[in-house]
Amino acid sequence: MEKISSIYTIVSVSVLSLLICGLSACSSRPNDAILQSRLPHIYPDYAGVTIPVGIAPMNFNIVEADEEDAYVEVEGSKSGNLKSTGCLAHFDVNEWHDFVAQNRGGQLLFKVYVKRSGEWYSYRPFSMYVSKYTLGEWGMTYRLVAPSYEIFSKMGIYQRNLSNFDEEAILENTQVPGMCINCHTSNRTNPDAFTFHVRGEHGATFVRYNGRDEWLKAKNEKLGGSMVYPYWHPSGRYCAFSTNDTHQMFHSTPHERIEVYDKKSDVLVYDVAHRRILTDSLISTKDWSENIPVFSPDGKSLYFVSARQQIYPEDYKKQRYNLCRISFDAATGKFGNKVDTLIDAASMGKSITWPRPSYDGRYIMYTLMDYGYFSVWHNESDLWLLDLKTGENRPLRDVNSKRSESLHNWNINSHWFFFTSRRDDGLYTRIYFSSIDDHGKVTKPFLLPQQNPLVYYRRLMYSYNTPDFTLKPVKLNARKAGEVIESDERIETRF
Amino acid sequence: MKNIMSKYPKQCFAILFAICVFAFWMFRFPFVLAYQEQMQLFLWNDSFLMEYLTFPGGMASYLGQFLVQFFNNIPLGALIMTLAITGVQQLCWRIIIRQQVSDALYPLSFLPALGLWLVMSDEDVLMTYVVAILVSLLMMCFVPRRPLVRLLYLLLISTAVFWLFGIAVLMPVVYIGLVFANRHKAIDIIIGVIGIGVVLVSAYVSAWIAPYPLARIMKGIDYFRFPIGFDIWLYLWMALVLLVLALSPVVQKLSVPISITTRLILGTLLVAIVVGISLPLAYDRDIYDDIEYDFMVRTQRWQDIINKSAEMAPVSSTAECAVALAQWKEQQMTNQQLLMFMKRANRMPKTELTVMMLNEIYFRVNMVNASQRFAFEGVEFIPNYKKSGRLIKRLAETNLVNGEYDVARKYLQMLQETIYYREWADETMNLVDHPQLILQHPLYGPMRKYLSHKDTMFI
Repeated sequence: MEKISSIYTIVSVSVLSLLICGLSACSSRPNDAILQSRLPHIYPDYAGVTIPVGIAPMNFNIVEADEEDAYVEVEGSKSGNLKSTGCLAHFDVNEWHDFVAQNRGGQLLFKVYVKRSGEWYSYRPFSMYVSKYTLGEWGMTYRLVAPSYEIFSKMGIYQRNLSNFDEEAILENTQVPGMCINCHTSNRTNPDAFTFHVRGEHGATFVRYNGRDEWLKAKNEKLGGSMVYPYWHPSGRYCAFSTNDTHQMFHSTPHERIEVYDKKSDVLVYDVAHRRILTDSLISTKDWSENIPVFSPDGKSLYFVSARQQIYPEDYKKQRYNLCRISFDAATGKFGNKVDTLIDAASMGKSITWPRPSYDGRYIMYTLMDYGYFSVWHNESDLWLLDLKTGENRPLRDVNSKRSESLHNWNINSHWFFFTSRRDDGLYTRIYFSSIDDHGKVTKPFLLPQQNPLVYYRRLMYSYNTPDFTLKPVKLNARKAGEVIESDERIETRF
Repeated sequence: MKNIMSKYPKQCFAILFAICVFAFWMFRFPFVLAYQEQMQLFLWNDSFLMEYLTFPGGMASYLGQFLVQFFNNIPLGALIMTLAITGVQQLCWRIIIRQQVSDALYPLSFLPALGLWLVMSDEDVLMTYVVAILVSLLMMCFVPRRPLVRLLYLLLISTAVFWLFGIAVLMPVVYIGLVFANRHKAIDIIIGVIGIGVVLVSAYVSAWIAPYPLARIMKGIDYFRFPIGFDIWLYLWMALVLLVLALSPVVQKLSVPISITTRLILGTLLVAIVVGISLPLAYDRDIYDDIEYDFMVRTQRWQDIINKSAEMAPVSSTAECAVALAQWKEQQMTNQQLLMFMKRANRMPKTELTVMMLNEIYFRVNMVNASQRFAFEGVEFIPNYKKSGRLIKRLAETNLVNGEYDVARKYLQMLQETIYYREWADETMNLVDHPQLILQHPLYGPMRKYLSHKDTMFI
């Protein structure tokens, strides 16, 4: 029904938008427009971004003061043109796809005309560049949840087709009232291997593997906690998790809200085939907190972050995580006998979180912050890139903002990545995309396109959380899932 | 007067009943109306409407919230409740007289209305339910007599009306199938069975389309504020209505050697006695004390709070918080005493109203972040996932004082799509557009000026 509701929304918003602006819309280029030397004010800021072929129309709102009408012309550097009338620059999905595909490797030049007080004004044209790199994934999955403190209301995991505006629910907590769903993760964007965690009275860990769906007991008695922050081994046979004793504290100063911290955490690997938890004393230590594990693309290494455990709440600013690695033998399920520190962030007075290797093995992207690991609540959180080939370690200045950037990941060809950012208003996280070429140059990020972005994002009272690319739609029978969740039928995990 | 009453007895009793209902909500329980209003936020935009077309009963919820937004104006809210309850009475009478009964049965039509009045004593029974049953009763007023037309009518109710107004349509379906039908005619029985079957199939199919379990669809989504659990009286009420309608012809046959007018008067007196006994019992609930305290905090009636606490010492955490705040505002409690109380209050079990109180206390002692936290928690606490105009307003204020103008703007834009918060949102938006004016504001200026920038962590 959510798919139908998204169609209703698209239709109704389109009709309303067209009615509001279309009745007096200018259908051809205005003559004698007064030239303005600056760029037009548009939302989102799509000027100078690089987009993939197949992306949904990059509709944008013209947000000039006292605008009465608008006209937009787009010219492809290789071929074709499009136009749009009205305050919302919007393009037909099929026409847009054809137009962008024709101009692959080139650019789209946007000319914007705005009518104010009866006069037309034209602005400095801007370009969108069409990348030569494909974005092969069908869409994205993400959780939509309010940026709340301890209590949550409506939430769910959703999927969005990136070539249009269709969004549908995979599972919402209206299906099982009171449940919290999170940590949904597929294996290298392929949802044939998929996991997510359910918290609440009917807790469980869902694992899809080899065509089989299993609902694991949420907590293992020996572990003492739930399995969270999953990341699949490329073989699909294993999935790395951490188990965390998580708490919150609340700031009293303006511009700060929450500090999420762990009193302890350990990393483990779950052998999906044998339903066994694999652990090691090197990744489950008493005095250090190991967290956010990820496998290398070749599956031979397990990266994670590790910090000397501090005493909370007094020493919360001293908890600093380094980026570490331990080898892993997929054939035996054994770990190496030493842990390497790749980046000693603590000695720099910083903390690393959310390492994400590119699938081509070239980079590790991570978030750098002042302390802690829950980056979404830290304004200073920025994306950094470790080049495993050259050893270069640098901030992504073209991508970062004054607000938090975090929860990033790559597409399968490793030329596109997304991240969540609070740059829009400082509280509600949104998804941004950027590309990286063979020389490591990143492009200006663009906001996830919407049919009418200004209205959509203004009204959206949820944050995008732990998004990921998905190669194809996730198929989950939500009704059946709800019944299983409520049934409390679970499979035990063992050591 | 006596001439009017004997000439128009039905109208007079209906008006008298309406006046009693109005007075009840206007003067005795106005705070319950305010409570209902603050637990939702009706938005005048297309997305909000579209959201309610995607599950069964969505239109009932939409219209219910549409009506409850007017509870911001207490007299208007009392009028809406009066129209709803007397509407039930009038519709029941319209249905009863289709069975060719005499006016002596008029008092019988008050029983369902009284029943609804009692059901509404549960503050978690929502206007969604009231809208659904009013529409269901309306459907029952126009049942076609011809079998084929009746079948089509039943199919319409069992599908389209079910999708719009939810499981309450079982009431007209059962009525048409079992009460209205001629039980000696096979075709009528078949039509009835088809109708009930189609409703059940509609519910089953809905569970595949909408993200709600079948159990919740069968209970009626948003009839009751809590997704888990239900108030059994919602369903017993529907059964009561069917019983009253089914028994009307039976009561009609009871032979009593007194005039119709006398029977009418006696019947009405009987109803009045039942009202007089049952209503106080139904509405004598501890939760109303908490709701009243919250209302007085919202309307800043500090001395009234203190007076109420003098009559009976506060027991609940909500009441304690309200009284502490009132005493502090009236300078009967020092700053130090209030801080000590707040340390204790932070460890109290959290309910929707306690969280509301904590937000209010922290706001007034200029602990803006803490107020913001509890205001946000208050929104998330609402069990049926609605927003709250009161709390969204508070979030706009806290973000404004904290200098988070983009977030403040977002909340103000939301409130600009309401009737009752729009004017305040428009005025406050001026402060977001011109932040230099904040320091001149009588409330936000001092709050901004004395905002502490020393970070103290709350656990």
